[in-house]
Amino acid sequence: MNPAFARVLASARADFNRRFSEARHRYPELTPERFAAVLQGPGDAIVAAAEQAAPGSAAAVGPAVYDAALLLVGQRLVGPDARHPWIQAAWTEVLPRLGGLVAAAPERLIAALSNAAVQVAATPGARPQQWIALLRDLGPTCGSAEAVLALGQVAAWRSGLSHYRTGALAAADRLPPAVALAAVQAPADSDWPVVRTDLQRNVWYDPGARPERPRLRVAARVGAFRGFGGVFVQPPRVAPAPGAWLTLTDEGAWHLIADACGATFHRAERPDEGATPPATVGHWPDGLRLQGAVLRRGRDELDLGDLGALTSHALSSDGSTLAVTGDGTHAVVLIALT
Amino acid sequence: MAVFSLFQKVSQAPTNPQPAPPARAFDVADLYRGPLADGPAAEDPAGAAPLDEKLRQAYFWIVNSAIISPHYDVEYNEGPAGDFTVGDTRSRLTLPSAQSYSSFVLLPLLTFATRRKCLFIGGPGRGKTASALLMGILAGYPVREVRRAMQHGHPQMTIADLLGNPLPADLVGAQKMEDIRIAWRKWLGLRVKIIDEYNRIPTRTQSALLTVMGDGYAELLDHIFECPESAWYLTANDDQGGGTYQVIEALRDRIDVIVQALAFNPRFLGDLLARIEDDVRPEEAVPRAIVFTEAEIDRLQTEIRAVAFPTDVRRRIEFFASQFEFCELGGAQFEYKTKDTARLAGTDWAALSAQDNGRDRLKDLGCQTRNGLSVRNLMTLLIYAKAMAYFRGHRTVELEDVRQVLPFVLQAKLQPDLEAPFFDAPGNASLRQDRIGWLRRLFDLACTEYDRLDLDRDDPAGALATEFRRGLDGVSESEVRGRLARIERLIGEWARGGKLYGHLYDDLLQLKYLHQRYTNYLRWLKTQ
Repeated sequence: MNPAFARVLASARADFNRRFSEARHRYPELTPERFAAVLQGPGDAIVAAAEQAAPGSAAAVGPAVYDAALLLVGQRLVGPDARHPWIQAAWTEVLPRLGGLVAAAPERLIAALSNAAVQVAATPGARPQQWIALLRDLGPTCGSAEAVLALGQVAAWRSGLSHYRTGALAAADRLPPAVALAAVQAPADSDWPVVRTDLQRNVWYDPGARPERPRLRVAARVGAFRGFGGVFVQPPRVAPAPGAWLTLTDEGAWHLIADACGATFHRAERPDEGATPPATVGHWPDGLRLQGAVLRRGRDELDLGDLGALTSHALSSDGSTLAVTGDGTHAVVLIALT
Repeated sequence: MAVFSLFQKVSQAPTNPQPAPPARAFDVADLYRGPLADGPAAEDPAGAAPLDEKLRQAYFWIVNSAIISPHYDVEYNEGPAGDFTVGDTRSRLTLPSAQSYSSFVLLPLLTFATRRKCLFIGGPGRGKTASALLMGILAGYPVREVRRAMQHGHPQMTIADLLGNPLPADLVGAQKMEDIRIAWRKWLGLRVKIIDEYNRIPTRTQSALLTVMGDGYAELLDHIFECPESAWYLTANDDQGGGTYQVIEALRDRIDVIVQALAFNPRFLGDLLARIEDDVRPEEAVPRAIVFTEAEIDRLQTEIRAVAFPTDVRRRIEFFASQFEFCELGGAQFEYKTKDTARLAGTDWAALSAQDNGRDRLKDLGCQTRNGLSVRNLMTLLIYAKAMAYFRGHRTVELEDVRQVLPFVLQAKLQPDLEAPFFDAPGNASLRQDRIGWLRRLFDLACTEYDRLDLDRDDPAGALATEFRRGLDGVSESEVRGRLARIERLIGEWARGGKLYGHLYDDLLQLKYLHQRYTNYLRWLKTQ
């Protein structure tokens, strides 16, 4: 163990022991072995990195690491048999690389990044490994704890938490342009304001991909049968909702928010009959027509035969995307129109 | 000091989640909410929470971290509840399907929010005083100050002990009373007042306490101390006369709710052991996030008063309350046919009830009590029902809110007639001791009768009253005569119906009131 961390622990041994004892009564799974493994492993690495970047900071970083470890090990969120590996990854791959920044705001960064790792890992369809990689690679280039936290928000959006899109774009504005461009995987020689405008305008815009002409295409298939990890127990139908779609089954309703980064479902109150437009197949948006199972727009065509008989469709409020459902699948097909 | 303190952890909002609204906004700042508090800068996660949320967070902090109270006796359900019968006497155990609460924590907290008066009863060492202490701390007072301000009842307690002393120098030198300065006791100025073992206070001192509790001021040697509006907590090991002194009736009547400290479940002995081993004193670890400022408590009261009380719920309370005061043989004149008339006359209750042989004494709910409800009781019931709804995050009182708080408000107010046939009915014997269970059953029976009479849809006396409340401006003589005829016709129909019950008695008195108002109006019309 880093000598500075060892000194901190030794200097208030009784108090640290009391805290451990308190925590163990609340969290019976907090064993000395598990706790020691975290403290001597990732915890020690965080304190050592901070101490190296800012000598003397172990006095503040050490207790923050200790208390966070008590709560996280107690809930089996970090440690040898953690419920998922992502907080451990944040502690081993991200926080030690932020040495000086952690030294400046230990409680804030340790708590915020640990909490965020839990959220990203708990969001179905999200890619926590991408979130860890973005923070690991770009975190050290941030000049302040605030910038790291803004980067974490942008990275969460890019890793699949599409419902944070609006806030994350605002957070990206607080980053140095080079970091913001890298966070959205745009070429380094791009102009951030231009990229940002395109991101704002088109939910399916991918700054890292080669530009293509707008065409009718399936941008995403989202949702699945509950038995396979999805939210639906029967094929859903869709209805328009502000800033999202409402997906409906006999059992419940969910908001669906989707963009190029991912799609998330959020439990919603089932609307009263007539409160929303009916989730049925009716009038298709201008320029689109259905012939058999093929959706056509000009010379573009899209075969929707694998959906079975179509049961509903709804246009997003910005007109960029058409959501379509059929009785042959538990997925919602999102068709990009831009 | 711990950075992420275990005992400072407050339940995350929303503590009583409601169905999501149709459209929702997402705040990217929520990304950083989770199992770890967000460091000292955001130590107060509930700072911006609505006050009902803060109240719930206070409740959950107390039940999770402070008081080891595994009893959930205030039960709410969403859909069917689990229901089991256990043992030879077929005791019912229900598993509520919605968020339910422990009365021992909830009622004191509602008392705190409404600044009313709560009595803790129960055997020694069950956490009555500790709970009261926590309420003082929630009001923002330091632990030491709350402890020092707590009044401990004892047989030698004098009025001076309770209220204060005249300054000795002034006593000697003063030429007139107003020259005598009084050193008022500090507790009188606190917004949470705690009287421990109030039934050990001598009767004369109880009278001084009554003035402070009832009227909000203290008086000594012609000097007055105006007390701020406060929440009161009193404790008693036994409220049935087992204290050193008999508690004066008026003082008992000022108490708004009574909660019983239920027995400790030895299954939770491990938690007690942890308290000892860790030397934890919850009252010293109350999170700042659940401490209320004076302005917040003021706002709590305003917001609770603003909770709507639907007419259909109010009608059921009216119907319930109508059952009890009526006593057919209590007086000769119609208005005096009440239990209070009989009580004031000192009539022997057993003899009186023995004469009452005209009605079905098992069915008539009024036969189960020896008294009726006072205006103060009803006002207390209304305010606690509102507070209950507010606590649950609702802005409209539901019938279940009334049903849950009613027993705690009325348990010392509505006196059961233990000789009534109801208590001899199979399965009802235990209700002789269990006032909470009895009152809840009584309210349920009243609601069942209300439904049977279909009073939500068919309430002719209510319809006539509604018509009257629209006002008399511009109502013609012929219309008034028509209304008078309708009143008389209705009374005539009811008179032919036979038996007189409490709710019918009150309806008849209301009809008489309406008749009188219309009669007076008619006389006035004739002079125009």
